[in-house]
Amino acid sequence: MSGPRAKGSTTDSYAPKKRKDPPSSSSNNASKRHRPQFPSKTIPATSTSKAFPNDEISVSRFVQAREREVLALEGAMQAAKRGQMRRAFQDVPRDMRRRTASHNPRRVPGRLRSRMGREMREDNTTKLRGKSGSGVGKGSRMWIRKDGVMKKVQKRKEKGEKGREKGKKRKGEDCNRNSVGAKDTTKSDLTKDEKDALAQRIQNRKPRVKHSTSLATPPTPPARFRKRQINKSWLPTHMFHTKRAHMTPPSQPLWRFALPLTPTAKSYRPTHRANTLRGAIAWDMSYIATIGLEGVEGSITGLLKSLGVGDGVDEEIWEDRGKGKKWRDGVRVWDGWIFDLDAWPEGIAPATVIWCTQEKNGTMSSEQPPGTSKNKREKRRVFIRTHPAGFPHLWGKASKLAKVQKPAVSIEDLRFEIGSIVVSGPGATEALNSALWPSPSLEGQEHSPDSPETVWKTLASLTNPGSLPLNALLGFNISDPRLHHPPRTVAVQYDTTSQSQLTRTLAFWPIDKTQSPPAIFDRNVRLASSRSLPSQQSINRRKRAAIPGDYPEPRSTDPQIPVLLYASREAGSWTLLLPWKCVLPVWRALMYYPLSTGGNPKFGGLKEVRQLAFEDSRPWFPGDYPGTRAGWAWELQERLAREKEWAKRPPGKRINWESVDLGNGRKGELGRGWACDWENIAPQDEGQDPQDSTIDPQFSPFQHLPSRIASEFFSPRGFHDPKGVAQVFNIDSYLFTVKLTLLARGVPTPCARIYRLPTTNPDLRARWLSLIPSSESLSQSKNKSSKPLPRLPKNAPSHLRRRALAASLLEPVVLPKVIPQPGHKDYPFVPDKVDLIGFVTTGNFNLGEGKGTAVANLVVAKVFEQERGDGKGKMQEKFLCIVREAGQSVGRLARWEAT
Amino acid sequence: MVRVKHRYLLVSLLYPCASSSVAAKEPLPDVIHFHQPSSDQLTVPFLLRVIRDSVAELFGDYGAGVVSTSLQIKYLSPATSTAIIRTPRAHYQLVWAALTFISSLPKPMNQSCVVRVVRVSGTIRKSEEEVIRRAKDIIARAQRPGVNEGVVGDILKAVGRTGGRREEDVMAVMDEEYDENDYSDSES
Repeated sequence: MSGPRAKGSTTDSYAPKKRKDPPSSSSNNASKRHRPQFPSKTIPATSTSKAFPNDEISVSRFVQAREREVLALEGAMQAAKRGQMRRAFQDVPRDMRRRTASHNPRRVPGRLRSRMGREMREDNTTKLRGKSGSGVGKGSRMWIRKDGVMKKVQKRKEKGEKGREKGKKRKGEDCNRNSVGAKDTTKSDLTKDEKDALAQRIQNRKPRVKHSTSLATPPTPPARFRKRQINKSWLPTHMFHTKRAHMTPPSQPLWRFALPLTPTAKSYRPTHRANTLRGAIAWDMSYIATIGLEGVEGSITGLLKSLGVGDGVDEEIWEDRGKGKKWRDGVRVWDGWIFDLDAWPEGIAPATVIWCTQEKNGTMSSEQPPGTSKNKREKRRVFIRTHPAGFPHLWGKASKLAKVQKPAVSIEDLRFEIGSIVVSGPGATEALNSALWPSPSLEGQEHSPDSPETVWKTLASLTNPGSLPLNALLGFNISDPRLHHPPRTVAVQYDTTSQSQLTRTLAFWPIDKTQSPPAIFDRNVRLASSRSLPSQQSINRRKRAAIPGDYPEPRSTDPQIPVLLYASREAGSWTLLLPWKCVLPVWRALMYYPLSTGGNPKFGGLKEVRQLAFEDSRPWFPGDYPGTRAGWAWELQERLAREKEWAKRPPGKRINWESVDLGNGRKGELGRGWACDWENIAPQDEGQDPQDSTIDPQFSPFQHLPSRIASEFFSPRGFHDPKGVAQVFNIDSYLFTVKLTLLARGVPTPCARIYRLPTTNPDLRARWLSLIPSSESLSQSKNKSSKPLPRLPKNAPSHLRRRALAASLLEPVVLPKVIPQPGHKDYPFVPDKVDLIGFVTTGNFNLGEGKGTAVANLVVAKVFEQERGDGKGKMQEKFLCIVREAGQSVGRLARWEAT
Repeated sequence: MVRVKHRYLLVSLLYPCASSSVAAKEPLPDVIHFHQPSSDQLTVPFLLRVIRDSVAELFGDYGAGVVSTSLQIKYLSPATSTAIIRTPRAHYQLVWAALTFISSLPKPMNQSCVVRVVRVSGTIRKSEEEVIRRAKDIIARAQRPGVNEGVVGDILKAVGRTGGRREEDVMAVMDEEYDENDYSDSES
């Protein structure tokens, strides 16, 4: 304290101060506002006389001088970095950064919180309390719940002490846990043999697991997360995702789950690349519902058949050979639609059905050939996996059917017991391979060379899971992935011998013979594995004890996590089923795996699922099936969202649906512009108003036609109805899903209207047909342009030149066929409303195909009508349609294909 | 805000006639003969003066004027004869040319000298990294046993090649892209 301030205080002590003291540059103030020091600008360097005393140069001194230089410069670089004005929240990884209130120290990751607090104190930033966060229990008085919290801590302490005392007591006695343990204090004076005898006599009956047919309840979350999960449940990886992804809004869960919608990092192109070129992408698909069936084979078969498994479209799976046999033996999965047979074919949802392999007992099978009565009475287990949107319908149906079977099938809701992860992309197998370490076999010996465990280890270099035998599965046990954390890159071998070995494995697939019943079907194993997961602390302890650079030694007490893996050829992805509580450790192992091609696997949300399905032109359930109940619910929800989005914009800037010019003097969008307005093209009775209140908006006016039947109807050879289905059912009210490809430019968007070629106006039809960019005309024009008249050499005689000129003048002028572009006056307008046949449900620019494609739904009856109208038309023309974006007047020619 | 842009020249000083003055007990590797230490008289103001004079001599008052806006020696280590020189981005060629034309250092040192521009970069960080990389390389070469001894050394001497000289010993590296992230410069 010296200088102006001290002076002022002595001289003007009695006079009132007119203004505050100017900010003094004294050391006191400077220490208050502590800024990071700028690095000293001079980089230290040694002088020659110091480095080489007596001018004597030797190798060691020379090297020392250079080493000191390296150190000095490295120090300078460090100092420069420290001198940057970076706040703690700026060091959060990019995809984990939040924009909102990122200055709030409570919103940064824990490891940065203290640093942030310090920075705020140094900067004298105001810290607002009570306004952020949930606002519950905080506020100006801070913790309202503090009393309760303190009480709880006290209780826990007491409990811990008691427990310790008890433990001491127990250690003192040498009690046998298997005996009637509760009364061991009174019987402590018995000898061990006596106790064993007693135990055998009073052996407790094994508690029978009651399979209730009630719906599963989600696991009770810890108290502080309970309030947030009243109307929804969290995925096992919820915490991972909330930090890195946009989640469903708290009040609008999807299918009663808080789901990640899309990563916060930009991911449209990265997702495409990770799926097709390099890398891997993983989803936590634990929200997919699993239903467990248990019963004799006959009953289960009956139940599945009455759920329409393979009905009408995939009959061979019920045959006793080939695909069907393998499926029922539990070495293949079946993927397909499940139907409500009361109203066939009302599709419920796509589902996966997996049988549990039967125990292979050599002696038993030799005594009793398969098919004997005992074999028939043997209980089998089956999993049905389906999307949560279709689950309620399926559950209702299946639980009724289970009771009807003789003997009855026990049905179990395994929704919060079995979780799943889906991984796709070229690096998927590699990443999974590093995460799933088959647990050592119990006897301590090696797994047999054909066992699923050994085969799984050899699959690391597989880049496309689709190259496995169709729908193949592997079931085995893995050890806790946390023991092998951080994961290391698997040594992928690409030499010819290992590649040929891999090809042989894929071709012969030895697992068909060696697969034992996957333990995941066993409830006890599932529960045991999730209960016996060691705490992170104990894992850390073991890791500390291990040799540096090595993973901890496996122990016999390690949990064995049962997993089931199957590959999907359509999507080129792996699906991993595992107990709900074991999802998170495996997920972590996957997410931090360093791929051999660089980077880590990405994670995806719902948007990425839809994007990849769209890129393969696969319809996505439920969004692309408005003919099902779940799909209709989705459509209604999307409709609301789009309407809200539209209404949000000011009237001058949003599309005015009434004034959309459809050409030929027609005005106004067909139906509601923000909806795939199926009600508008639904077949109605005479005189019924489409907006009539008698139509229940909660039910779809259409039903979904299974794709197998649709592709039979509309095969590239023509439209026909081989089984006469159309006569039996009223095909008027059926939709089928198609893939659309635009013939020229343009990108279809959801809700785009689809017309057939005009049926009422032949002139307009001809004009539309003239738009087809035929390969013939293209090649012709190319030939013309590529072959100009042969040029004469410069020194050609004049008569030859004149002849050439005459020839070129007489040459008939062939104008290339001009295809009118949108906006040109010759561009045809869209057909009438009678020709409206469907809507686009998903459409975008397809990165896989390099042009606009779409997944759409068409009305079966309208497509057949077209057939009746122009039976003589070219085959090619039958699959043409016109796509018009909602709110636009330009239609574009597209080709559809039943998927 | 517009930043003032610089170029950083990483320079190494070579003394072609100095090896006679160095007292050495043992035979030294060629690398050490090549990379002689400078005398302690080589200081920052001295080097700056040499450069300024050279620029003025070649490009006159104009050159001296445009270069002087940001000419600065960021790092000078006489023991290793390395320097990092900051120059204005628009005119770094003038400085480079002036450095190339220096054939001897003036009065207090009175020594013939070759100034080799080893790298041109937009950030000081990259030149620092380059210094580290080169220093490590030189250490490795100096410690490599038997380059100058025995038959191989004799042959190399006979052929007139120094051990392990490579293209980068005679070329300068330029990176034009590193204009951004010029974090180290706090005063501009």
